[in-house]
Amino acid sequence: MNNKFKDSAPDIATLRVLLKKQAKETFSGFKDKKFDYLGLILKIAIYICFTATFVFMFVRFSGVYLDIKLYGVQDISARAYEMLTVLYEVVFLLTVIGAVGQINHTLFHNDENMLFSAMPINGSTLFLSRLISIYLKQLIVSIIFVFTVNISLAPSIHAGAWYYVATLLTTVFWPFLSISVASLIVLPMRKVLEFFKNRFVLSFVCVTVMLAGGFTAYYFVLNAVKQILLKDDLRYFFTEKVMNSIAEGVSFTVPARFVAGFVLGRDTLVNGLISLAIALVCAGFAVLMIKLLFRKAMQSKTQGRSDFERKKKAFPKRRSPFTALIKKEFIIVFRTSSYMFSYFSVALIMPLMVFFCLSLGDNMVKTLVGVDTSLELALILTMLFGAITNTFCATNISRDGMMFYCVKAMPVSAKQVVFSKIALCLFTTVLSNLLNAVLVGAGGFVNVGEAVLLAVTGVLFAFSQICYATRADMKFARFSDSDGGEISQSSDLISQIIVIGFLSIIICGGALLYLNVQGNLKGMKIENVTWSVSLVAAILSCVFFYIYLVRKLATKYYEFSGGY
Amino acid sequence: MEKILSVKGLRKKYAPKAPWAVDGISLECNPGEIVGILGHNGAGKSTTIKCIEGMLPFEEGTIEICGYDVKKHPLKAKSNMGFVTDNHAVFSKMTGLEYLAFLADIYKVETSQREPRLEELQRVFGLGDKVYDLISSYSHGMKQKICMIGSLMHAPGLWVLDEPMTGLDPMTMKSVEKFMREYADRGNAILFSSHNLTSVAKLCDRVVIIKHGNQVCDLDMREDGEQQARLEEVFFNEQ
Repeated sequence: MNNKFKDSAPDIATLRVLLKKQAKETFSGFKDKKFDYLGLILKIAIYICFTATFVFMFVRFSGVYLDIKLYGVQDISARAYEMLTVLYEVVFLLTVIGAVGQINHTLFHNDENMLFSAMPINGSTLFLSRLISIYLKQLIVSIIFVFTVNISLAPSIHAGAWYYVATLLTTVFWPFLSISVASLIVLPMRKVLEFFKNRFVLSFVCVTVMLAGGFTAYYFVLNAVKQILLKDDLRYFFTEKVMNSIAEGVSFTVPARFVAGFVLGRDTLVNGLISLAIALVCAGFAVLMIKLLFRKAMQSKTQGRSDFERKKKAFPKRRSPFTALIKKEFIIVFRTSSYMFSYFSVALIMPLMVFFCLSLGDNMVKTLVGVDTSLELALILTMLFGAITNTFCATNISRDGMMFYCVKAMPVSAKQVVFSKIALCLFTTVLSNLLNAVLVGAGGFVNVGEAVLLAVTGVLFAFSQICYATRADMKFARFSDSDGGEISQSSDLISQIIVIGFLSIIICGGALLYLNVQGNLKGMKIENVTWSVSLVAAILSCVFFYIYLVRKLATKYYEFSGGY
Repeated sequence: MEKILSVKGLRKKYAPKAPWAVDGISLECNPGEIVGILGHNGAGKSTTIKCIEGMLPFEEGTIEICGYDVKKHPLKAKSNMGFVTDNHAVFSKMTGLEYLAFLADIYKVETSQREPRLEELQRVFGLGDKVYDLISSYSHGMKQKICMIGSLMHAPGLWVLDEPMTGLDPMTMKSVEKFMREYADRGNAILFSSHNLTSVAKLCDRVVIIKHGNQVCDLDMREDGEQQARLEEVFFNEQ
């Protein structure tokens, strides 16, 4: 066995160097001239929106929940304990999922491990640096989730000083819990992932079904919230039977109930000691497990492995160059899990997202305003989710990696190359929009004619976006030097397209919605306005962006030499 | 006799204010010839080759492949050329066979010629059953082999290789050298860049030495037995 893996004390000086290097790498992106600042702002904005919505809903909800009387008795402490326990359990699950990803990436997908194994670096030092890195990342997640939950609840329960001290302690110790449980799951998880590795169709079906399942569950939760909100009294929902079930469920949650008890000062000492014991045992267990995993990762990296299967096949049948290019595009997207998920799965789920959001929004708007806005809402939602799906096309050029230059050297024209990419995107978007129109039509939100309008405008707007994204990518493409040129970092172009798409949809869609509501309130028939405005806008944008794509296409294509 | 490759006064720069990366290179490849390009790192070998392959645009000069100007008739010129890049770029999510079929489709190789050509190239490069695997699972050397096989699927008149021997094992290297000679003897031309003086001296009919983007000499290696010594003298003195 390699002596480097034998136990020995970590070297603090080397540890400092390794941590400094990791910190520099983490923040190196800011020095990049092409750093995606827009993307970062977008992420922060989304986080702030998400947190603000959560805090608003949570404070409102907790006010009502804490008031609930069980058998005529109000018990704020018990209700706060239940709320916090349930929330901690959810946060626990989320942080464990995050930790599995972090451990997996840090230990198994980090080529540096192999490089370091050849350097005079003590195995324990390297291990400790990796462990600290994982802990720090989890600490950030803990601050985002645990801290937000606790601080949001504080005003409702009139929290004292202890609550804040306990919040701080919980935030710091939480990563030990999530990392330890995650370290148990990592190996079985890797086995599952390896099973799916080259089974592309199965992966696609599973990912899409899971995504659809997730959205369906999300819809049902939101629908329940909507029903509760529309009834305008949460207490009708939380009957004595429901409350007893919650209390019983809470008693089974580990470690959430102990941590919640400790934070809320219920049997502080006992819950605190149990929480501490769990944290310490988990910390020890985490160190042991990750150390074992680390050795396994180092050995698998240095020894190498072969995990591909052989199937003898005849030479594939002959195709035209254009069809061969389309097939190549399909293979690259379908066999790269991140591409497959962010395009094919999302495109297939898009109709479901539109349907669910329409189911929620349509009824609410009708109840609140008293006007039928189904068509306008369907159009807005189709454009909105279509825009999210088609941002993937902003990688049409860059995802070829260094093969972009090889294709340039092949006897195919710029139009053939670019339009093979457009053709794949168009095929996907047509399928997605047709399904969307059928689903929305079958759901009774629109009639046959409106469903056709939805499909046509959806496809035309998607085509405009595909043309713009492809041409813009040709201008700003940056090729990844990883194997196969797979893009692992988000591009500023994608953020730009999301922002432009959203703004256009909000302005155009909002205007249509406003016209419809105002027109109906004033007793005017404005159905034709929606039809003509959406169709004209779709055709105009389609023509404009098609010209933008094809104008001097060959010159731009052959002159582009960003990677060399 | 028609030249397979004709490069005249090639000039290329990477930015408007940058110095010429390639400054007035002219070279020819006749049927049956193997021409080597030698030069130190950054001399302009790869840039010259990438301009010939059509990967990089160039400012001045002309390049003709089998009589077709690469700017006026790019598709016809490219149809007559096979190329192997120095970075072994390849679509790694395809299997070896899918990649070869893709290239055969792009170069419009006749259906009847596909299987026999693959069999012949498999004998030379020895990829074996690995051709059925995903390219992402290939080693560096195997990627080099699939790139070489792919570049020859359409039996091009001109075979351009940038650092072709990098990553190959000695057995395959010997086999490739033998094949290169055979391929040229069939009336095709080969242009390749290398750092390996011995290999270049042994294989090439002519050697072009490039320094700072300028062509410093064009040696005919067939003239007499002293040419290897002459090549080393010129190469090291010019560096």
